[in-house]
Amino acid sequence: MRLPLDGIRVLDLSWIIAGPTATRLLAIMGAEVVKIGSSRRPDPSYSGPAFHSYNQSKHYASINIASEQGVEIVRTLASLSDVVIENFATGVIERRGLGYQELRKLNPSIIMISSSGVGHTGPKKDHVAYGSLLQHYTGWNSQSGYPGGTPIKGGLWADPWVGMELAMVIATCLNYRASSGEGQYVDFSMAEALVGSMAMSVIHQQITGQPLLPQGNEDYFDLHSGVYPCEGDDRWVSLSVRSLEQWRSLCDLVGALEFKSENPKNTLSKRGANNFISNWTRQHSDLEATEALQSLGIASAPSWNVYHVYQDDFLKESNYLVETETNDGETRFMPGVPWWFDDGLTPNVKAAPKLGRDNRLIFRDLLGIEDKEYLGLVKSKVLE
Amino acid sequence: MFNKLKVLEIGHDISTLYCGRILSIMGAEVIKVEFVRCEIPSDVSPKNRSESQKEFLAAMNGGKKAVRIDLSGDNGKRDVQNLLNNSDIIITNVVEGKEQHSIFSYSEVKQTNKGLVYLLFSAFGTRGRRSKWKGTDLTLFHMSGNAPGLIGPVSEPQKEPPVRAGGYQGEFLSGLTGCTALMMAIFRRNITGAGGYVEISKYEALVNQTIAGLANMAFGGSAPERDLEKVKEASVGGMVGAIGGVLPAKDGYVAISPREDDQWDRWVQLMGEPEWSREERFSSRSGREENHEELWDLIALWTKKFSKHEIAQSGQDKHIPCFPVNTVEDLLADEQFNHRDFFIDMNLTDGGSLRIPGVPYKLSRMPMNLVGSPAPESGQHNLELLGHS
Repeated sequence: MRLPLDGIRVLDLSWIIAGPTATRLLAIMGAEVVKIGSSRRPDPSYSGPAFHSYNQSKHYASINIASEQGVEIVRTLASLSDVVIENFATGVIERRGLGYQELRKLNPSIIMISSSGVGHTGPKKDHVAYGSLLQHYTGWNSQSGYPGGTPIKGGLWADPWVGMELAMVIATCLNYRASSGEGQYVDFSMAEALVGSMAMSVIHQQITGQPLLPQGNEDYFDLHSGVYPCEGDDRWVSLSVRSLEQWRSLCDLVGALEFKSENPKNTLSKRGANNFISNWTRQHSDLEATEALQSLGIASAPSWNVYHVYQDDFLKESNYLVETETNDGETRFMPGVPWWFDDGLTPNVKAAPKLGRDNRLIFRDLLGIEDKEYLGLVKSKVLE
Repeated sequence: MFNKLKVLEIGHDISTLYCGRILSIMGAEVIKVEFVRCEIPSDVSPKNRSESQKEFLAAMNGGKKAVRIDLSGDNGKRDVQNLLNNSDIIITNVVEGKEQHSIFSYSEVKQTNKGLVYLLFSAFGTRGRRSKWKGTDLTLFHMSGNAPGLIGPVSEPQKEPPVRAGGYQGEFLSGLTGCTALMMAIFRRNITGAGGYVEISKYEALVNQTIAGLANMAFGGSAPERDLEKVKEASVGGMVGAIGGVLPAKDGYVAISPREDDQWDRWVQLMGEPEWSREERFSSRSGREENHEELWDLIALWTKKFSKHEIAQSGQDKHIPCFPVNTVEDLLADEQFNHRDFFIDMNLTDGGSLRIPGVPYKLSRMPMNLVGSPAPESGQHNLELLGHS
């Protein structure tokens, strides 16, 4: 079965996390992603395990884009690509002669996406940013924490979230080009990507003049919810009750019979029932408690760390974790894509490459650089 | 191109609403389909909601149309069939195989509409041994491995449970993930003409946030323990040790991350090169990481003297990655967001307006329908779309 992005070439000048996690999704869905790097300026994650998930299924060629010849090669690659993505600090790519206005002269229908911390216009466009700092700058982290506690806890990690949104926008632009023939430039702000999901906090602030305080493990849309201690060290189970019927089943299960007919939103009933629930959950493992609650139709799950997630076979059964030969020759279960197409489509989950692995493929086969010239470029450290 | 696409949105969870909202912004005609006498599981029904929650739902539904159909009679069934056959995309979170729902199940609809792209949101997917399990933003967040990394200082880990992120981040992420998959499926349809069925397991969408951690596991690493109080705010927001931290300012907090040696040197200059900064133990990145607790205390002595904005601005003037820890009130007043016209004015029925988040991408060619019509009333477009009220 054809992968959706078969035949699309993406020139990937991005690095660190957000850009690479976007192009990873494109590569797994069929695009030919050509990642450019240099040993002079190694991708910060290169030496660790995370690189193996951020850069799955890509080609990796080494070019020193601080050199004039290196820039020229990248320009030629851009002329042969459908999409270019970069996440340098604002202005860097233009100074290298690789800005959109330059590249569109070579390739009028190119789609170029430039991602930066706070966007490429505005008084803070030159601010140096990391995703973790933007989580604080935007108030994103202020939404999380225990009720009544200091709201400076974390939120979901910005970078892979932004990676998902970048991939979505690139696929959108490919659709637009398919119908209009037009490429375009995308100015993407990581900070705005976080605020894009903050409608509830933003609206609450304007209506009440007060911040929406962290709700912790409580929930506006549940009748009752919480996280309770289980058997074992630091093991917990979460549950959400959405109907009175579920509430009554829960009260039966944990022996909280006197609260069965009470309103779960009433503070005293809630506190009383919580004691019964905790007493019951402490006698069970997190998965036993989850299964008992699920069998009553109550949403429930253990509170896991990433080790528990990885050890649980469920993600292997669902093919999210895919057995892959990584570039050290070992076989491991590595992350795939969080969607499933029912028509027999097999996502292209392959190992992340080593720097320079695809030099021959890119420079000789794709660009047609002769052996002699190739060796000269290596010698003059244009390709390194 | 998107203005030629007709999307039916059947469902009430935030993922489905957000996915529909993005498609509407891209220009698609998004029609919310609601049923009389046919129960659709609802996460966010507007009944008994606060004003903020009602306006939140209005923001999610801006730019959409709405029909309300009585499925108990033949007319209603015919209306639904017509809509289904003339649609390009269906997005839904209706998983349960109730007989009433079968009319819009993929197996039924594909018989008459081969080009249809069908997107289903579910908690754990419809295959496998947990397909019947229910999930919510809370439970899926906890199971996905994201919760232990979130919590800041904990003094009594046996009493203080892991906490999920606020703001329904899991639901928004799932909606976004669905939209990404959908855009790829539409692209394939442009080329092959074939539609298809795409499924999002919200659990997987959340697990996908931890791909760095999963890679660590694959390479034999261990999961970090829940942070205890001793690491202070240095670990807040995913930042550890010398890589960065949250520090107290005169009027709140400031988040800094002078992780590279050159950034650190400039940060030391900014602090006026205090005596302690020349100590051997702080001279390398690994030394700073090892001694981050003492470092946090020492830096805090300096940061407490200034406001968060002063520190952030003077740090950025020296190209040091640092930002104020903002509240939402700060965010709404922020000159960068306002300069870029990020927020959109949503008109209210009483004549007022509210600012709501826009999108983080500025597209140089493709028009977007950012403001859109106000959220529709239930059944508001019956006459226009079905030919009767």
